[in-house]
Amino acid sequence: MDQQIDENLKRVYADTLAEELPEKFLILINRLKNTKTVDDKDINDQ
Amino acid sequence: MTSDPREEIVEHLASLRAFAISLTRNSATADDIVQDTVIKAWSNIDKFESGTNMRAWLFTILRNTYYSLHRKRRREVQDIDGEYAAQMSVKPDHDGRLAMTDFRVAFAQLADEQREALILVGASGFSYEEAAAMCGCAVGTIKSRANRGRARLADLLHLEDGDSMELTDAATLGVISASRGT
Repeated sequence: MDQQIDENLKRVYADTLAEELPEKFLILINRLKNTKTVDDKDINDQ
Repeated sequence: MTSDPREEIVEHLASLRAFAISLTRNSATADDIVQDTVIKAWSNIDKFESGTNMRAWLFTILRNTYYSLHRKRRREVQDIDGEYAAQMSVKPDHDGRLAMTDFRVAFAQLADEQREALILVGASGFSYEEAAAMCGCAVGTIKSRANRGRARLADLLHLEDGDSMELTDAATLGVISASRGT
């Protein structure tokens, strides 16, 4: 029964994993990458 | 192989979100926690040890963020949980099959620590040792939490050893029943 519960947990978890990521995450990552680029430029300029 | 470990964070966004949803049981709160986690990880990447498990590191940051928020907003989170429970208040089927919704409802009723342990070792594929390190507790504690969580799930779903357990949603069950009747 424990194994069955774990298999069902994996299925529930996999369903959530398969959901499309909200766009705001991609926006956040792009914003962070741009921030990194500015920081790197600042470091390189020194 | 990525030269900047920050690039790897993106690869774990979906699993971070799934873990956050399992903890919060609320997708809006989960998304906020994932955002906080990503920002913390990004800005503290120098604390990540190259060659170690990035996913485990991110999960640790996420759970710490969740419990920190949980402590600060205990009353608010309880309200959210109440709303969630009300939305999901479906009685389990007892025809030998277990609808997916019933399983989700039962899982949402577990204690935070039990849900966390089951997701980490039962669904995410972490070892007991990795989960214990992430949660800052002994391996035996994680095993105990996972076992209590499984037992609680079985209790909530009125399952006994030997019972068939199959995740099928209500719509699919309806189709199956209809096709059997023809």
